[in-house]
Amino acid sequence: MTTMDLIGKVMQAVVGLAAFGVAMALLLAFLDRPDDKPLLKGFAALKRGMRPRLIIIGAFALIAILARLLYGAVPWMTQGMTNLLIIVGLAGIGVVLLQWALDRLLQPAPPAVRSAVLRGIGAVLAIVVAIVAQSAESVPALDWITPALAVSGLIVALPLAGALVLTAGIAFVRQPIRRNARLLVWLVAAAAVVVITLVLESQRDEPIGVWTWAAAAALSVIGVLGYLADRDEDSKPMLVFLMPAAVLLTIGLVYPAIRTALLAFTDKTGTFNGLDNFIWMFSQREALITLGNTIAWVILVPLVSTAVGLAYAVFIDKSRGEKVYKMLVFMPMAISFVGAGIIWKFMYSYRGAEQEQIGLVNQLIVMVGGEPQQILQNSPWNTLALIIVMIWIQTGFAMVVLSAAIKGVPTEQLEAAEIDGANPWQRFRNVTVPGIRSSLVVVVTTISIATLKVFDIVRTMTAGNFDTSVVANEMYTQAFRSGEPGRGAALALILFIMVLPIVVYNIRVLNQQKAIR
Amino acid sequence: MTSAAVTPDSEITSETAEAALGGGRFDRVKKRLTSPWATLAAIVIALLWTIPTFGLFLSSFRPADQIATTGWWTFFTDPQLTLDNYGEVLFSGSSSSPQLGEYFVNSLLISIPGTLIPLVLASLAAYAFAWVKFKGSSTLFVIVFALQIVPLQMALIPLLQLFVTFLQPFQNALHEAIPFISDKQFLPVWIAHTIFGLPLAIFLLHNFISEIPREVIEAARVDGAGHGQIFFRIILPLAMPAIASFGIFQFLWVWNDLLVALVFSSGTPDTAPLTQRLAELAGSRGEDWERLTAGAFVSLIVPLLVFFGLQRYFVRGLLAGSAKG
Repeated sequence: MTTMDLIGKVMQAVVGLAAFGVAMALLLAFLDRPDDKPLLKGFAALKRGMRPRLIIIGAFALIAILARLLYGAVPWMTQGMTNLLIIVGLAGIGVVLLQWALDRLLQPAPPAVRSAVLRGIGAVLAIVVAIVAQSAESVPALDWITPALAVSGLIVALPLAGALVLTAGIAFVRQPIRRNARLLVWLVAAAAVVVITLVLESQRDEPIGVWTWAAAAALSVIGVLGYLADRDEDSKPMLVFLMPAAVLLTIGLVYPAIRTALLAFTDKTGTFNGLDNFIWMFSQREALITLGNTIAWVILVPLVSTAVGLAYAVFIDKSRGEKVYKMLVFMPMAISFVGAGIIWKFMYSYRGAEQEQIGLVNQLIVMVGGEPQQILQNSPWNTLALIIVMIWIQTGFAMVVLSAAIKGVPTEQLEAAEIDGANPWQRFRNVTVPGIRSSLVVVVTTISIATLKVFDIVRTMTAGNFDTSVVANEMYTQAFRSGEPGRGAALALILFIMVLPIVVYNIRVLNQQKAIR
Repeated sequence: MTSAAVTPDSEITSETAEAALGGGRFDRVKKRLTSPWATLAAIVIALLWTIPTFGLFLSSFRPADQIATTGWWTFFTDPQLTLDNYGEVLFSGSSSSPQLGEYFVNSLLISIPGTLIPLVLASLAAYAFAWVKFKGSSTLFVIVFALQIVPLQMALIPLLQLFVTFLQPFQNALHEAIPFISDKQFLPVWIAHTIFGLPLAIFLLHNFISEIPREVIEAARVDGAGHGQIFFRIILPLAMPAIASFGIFQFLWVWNDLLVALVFSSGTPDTAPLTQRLAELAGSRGEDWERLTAGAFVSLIVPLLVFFGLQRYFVRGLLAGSAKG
């Protein structure tokens, strides 16, 4: 690693976090702001006078001018960097001027007019972006825009501009109609993006890519959130609070989950092939073993780790050094699955019978007079060996949760049972267990979900060879190693269906709690 | 209890309960329910759970030829220790050795933004769900909760396609503008960790933020505070302990993650984290125990330090919150 590499990496982190901070500050500037916070004070000062604006404009201009002057004069000022800095400088000046104009000219105007003007400007900007994207090929500064991206820009910008203009017009309509009409406009815009994409894609040779789909999703999110926020003045800030998370989740989880569900019905080339992937899954020997292994995992891991965790929690309850006991068993939770994989690979390591063993498990086998075993290669016991690793990790979690639940069982009940002559086992069976039932259920479901998704342990220890693969690992292998995204998606879908009952159950619990609260 | 126990976060609450019950009004004569046999069983379990880690730890300090030929338990009869293994995995310049130092830096640079960004976004969203009234709030919240359990495997392929079509051109442009920033960057990994961490973070922080007494917030509102002021002046300070303790967990998850790294990082020393390199080593050099043992401990050291060093902050943080609530 050279020093330059290191500087580059650290710079990524610093620039990335700084950009995130600026974006957040801009977003929060829409809220009412406490004036004593230094950063926000800057925004407040902008509202008052001309001078701070002039200083900021000067600073941005300086950046742009310096970049132009240094270009060619010093070797490290590349063309790309010059372009970037000039664009930043011009954009900064533009934003400050725009803010001034809005503040000066629109302050006394009613909210509807302000909203309409802002939307109008947004529409103009969207069209300008689209036009600029079209001319990307001839402008050297924009050569990073690929043709697909330029087309996407156009497909998205036109419905977006249309929606902005329409909603600007709607700003003057009275309330309930306005809300509904705006929602309708945004959804129509999203649909328009989808339709245009589909039409254009059928005419082009190369695919447009997924960017327009994400934009359609974002447009719908904007519409729905705006609809929800527009109910009264008080709920508007929710847009600011919720927008980043909602957009990220839609683009990053909702949309991909739907895409994967569709992908599961396509083959290598992306054409629809019905249920072939599922037929493959339930007819191939390897795939069937994978499914069987997953079922073994999801039965054994939750049961054993909950049982051991519960026993341990009961045994150490109120004993001296309880904290240390807890820490020892909880420690595997802090270790990565990869680390745990290596630890246990070492435990299971194998040497021929004539050599000295270096793995503890084989040493113990030899000590009681057995032959050393290739533990990770002999099916089906190797799956059990991997399951033990997961149990080793999850027991700590079960133990800590159940220990807390046990302490919540009223002492009076236990004492009453003792006076009635119940022995420790009866007290445990009839008082403690009913008292911690809900926590038990929660522990079992949580561990089941974690087990269904298990990937790292199998990957590190056997890479899924020797009949040890599980669904999550097989999905990765098919999608990213064998170039069969359709099969990978089908496996992911199976995983989702396996988790589904647990999701439904958890939502029910959540609703019950809401009702109680 | 149950609401928190749905999530891996529960050890926090349990510690709280333990401290409250053990140290507070229930501080009566300690009465054991179980026998010496139970204590013995507990010691056996504790030993079983500790020995694997201990064996690896001890081995990482033994000379390479000894690790390969004798079991680590022979250390007690023939003690020999060395730091060579660590020197080799961390700093060695030869191409065949792991050179984990570089990957260690990558892990740090992935984990820190991968923790901060979701925390900020999640606390904003959690506040909106808890205290901004809008229609459909509870439906949206249930959707977010359900997302938490959707296997992240389902999101990988389309998200990767999104990144390749949209993020990659941007990254190339940045690389061209500033040449010593590699065109293989951390950005996709950060975004992926942010997205995958958000549902759980929103759910947990919402649980905590919604328990802040209504009177406090209504008093502020009567005094003329808007949502921005309430968030910065009241919610953030009061929820800071919960935010901090969730931050620690998110850090551990991101640091320990392998799948997201495999899919979204480049796999080269430019961006790959420790876990990825270790998994590679375990696969290709399965019998180089002197490297694997030391390498594994290099990757364990940060989570273990965080876990042992910050353990009490979990307790203190949640106690502070619950005492006021």
